[in-house]
Amino acid sequence: MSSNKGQSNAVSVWFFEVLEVWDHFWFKPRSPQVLCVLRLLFGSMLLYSHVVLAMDLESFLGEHAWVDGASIRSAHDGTFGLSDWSRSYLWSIDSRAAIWSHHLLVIAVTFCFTIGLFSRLTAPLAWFFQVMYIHRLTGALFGLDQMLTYGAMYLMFTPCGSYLSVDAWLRRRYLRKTESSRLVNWLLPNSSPSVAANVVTRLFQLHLCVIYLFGGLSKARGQTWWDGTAAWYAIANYEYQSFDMTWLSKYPRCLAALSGMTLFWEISYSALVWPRLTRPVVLAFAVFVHLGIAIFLGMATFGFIMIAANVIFLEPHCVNALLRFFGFSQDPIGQDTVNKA
Amino acid sequence: MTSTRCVRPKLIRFSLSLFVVVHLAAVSLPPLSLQARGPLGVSPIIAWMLAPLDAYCQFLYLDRGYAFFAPDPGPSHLIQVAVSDGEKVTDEVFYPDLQSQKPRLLYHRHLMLTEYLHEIYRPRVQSGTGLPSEDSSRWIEERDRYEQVRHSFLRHLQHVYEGKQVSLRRIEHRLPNLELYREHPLPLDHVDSYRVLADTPMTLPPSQWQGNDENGLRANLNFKNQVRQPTIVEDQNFTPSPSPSEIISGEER
Repeated sequence: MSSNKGQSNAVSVWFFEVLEVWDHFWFKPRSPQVLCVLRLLFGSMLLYSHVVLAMDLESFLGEHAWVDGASIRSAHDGTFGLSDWSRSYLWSIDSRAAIWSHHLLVIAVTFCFTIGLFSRLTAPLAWFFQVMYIHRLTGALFGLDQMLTYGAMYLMFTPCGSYLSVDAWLRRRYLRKTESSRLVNWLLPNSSPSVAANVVTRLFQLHLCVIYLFGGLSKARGQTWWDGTAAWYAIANYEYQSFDMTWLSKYPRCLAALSGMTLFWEISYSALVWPRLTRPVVLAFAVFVHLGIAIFLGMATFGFIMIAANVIFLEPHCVNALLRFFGFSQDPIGQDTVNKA
Repeated sequence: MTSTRCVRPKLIRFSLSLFVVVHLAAVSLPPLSLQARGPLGVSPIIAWMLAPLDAYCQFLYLDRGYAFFAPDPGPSHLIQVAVSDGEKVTDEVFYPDLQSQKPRLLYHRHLMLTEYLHEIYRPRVQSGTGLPSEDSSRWIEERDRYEQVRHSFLRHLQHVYEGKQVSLRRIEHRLPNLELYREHPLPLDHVDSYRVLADTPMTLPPSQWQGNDENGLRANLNFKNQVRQPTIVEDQNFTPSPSPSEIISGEER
């Protein structure tokens, strides 16, 4: 009898410990500085992506686009058997004036999001426009677009405009701590630790782990990542090449090491990025791999955004130290209060 | 008052926890469903778990597999376009083209478009293929989707080339085997590395319509000095100078 009671106590202790760990992992307030840096990085790349699209806008969105609106619509609405929930009002817009007006608005909103001007409003708007473009540009998308969409999605729930932003400047310039209303405090957030910043950081971290895990698992189903020739096939792809790296063919062991290390790193990322002991190694290898992709495989944008995404695993105090090193100071307002979101 | 204070944060945390679990399921299940796919389709348990989250995943663009350069880095797929004035070919263009599509992101979007055309390609289905009627009708729908996108490409090209007649064919740019390259290092854009992907009807085995094995047609691109300066020549599926009767509003029949 007493043994049963002891077991039941042990189970309940274990259960409450799990709850405590869960609570600590998800709901411990976190400083938003890392997210503010990510706003700058993701916002800049989103803005660049929209500006580049503007250089040939009508070929992608116009009446005579490569894939016109009607074709995109019928690829998603069940006309050809496949029906899904991808939706975009851009399927129905053909007018040149409307497309250009819309795109200029998107660029303006994304610019405001990037510099952190009314970020509480411009962040969700920038995400919404990005989703509408994603569902319109079927066929012309790649990993960069996925990461930009996810980045904007997560950042819109956070006070990502509370630091290194116009919002922070406006707050310092015009608000006095005691007089600001709740709405104004929400619109011009302070950079105090918040639960929202932590929940979003955790979601983004776990999402990145899922991306690397399945990236690695799908590679593990191939042959070339195991026999060590995958790195050769990547650098021998003429359409991706930005520098001729075919001289590496003389060093097959080097190619095999690159292939094997990439495979092992991707699969183990989701486990080894959490312990403080292994995190620096995993993140350093992420920078190495993505810089390689950026420089040698002609995907500077994708390489940049993946390195930026890995910033999510930096602790706020590391980012603060880095920013102080570069001469940025803390937001003086709101450091003493905890915004519980 | 005190009890309300205690309950509300707990309720908020419980709701947030529930959302977090659902969202993480939506993030993990789509790539898992891609890995858990076999000849009989997706694993039933994964399909069952994913079904209620489909709309959420699709709208938020979470329905991705994250299979970058996987399972193996493969060849690139391009298109070759012939522009004619009704009598002779006046222009021949490859898409994507690094020289005319700058910056690199714009070039990459064009590369993704030509890869997309290859990805959705389905051969024409002819009677007597032996496919079950359900598979056959799905195949026909997918072929129709390919045709619609291909026609959209052609309409775009006709607009770009100001109403001239255009036709296109898919090209595969193969990757050189490491051992062969070490023995005979040819330029990566050597003529032998290009293959025309013929639009072969479904009556033939897949190895003959996919064009990614030795049965693929060698692209007769007439390279000069190993530089990619192709001249389109007639093959069984590509007529560079179609007569007006073969073109309807700039579209290949």
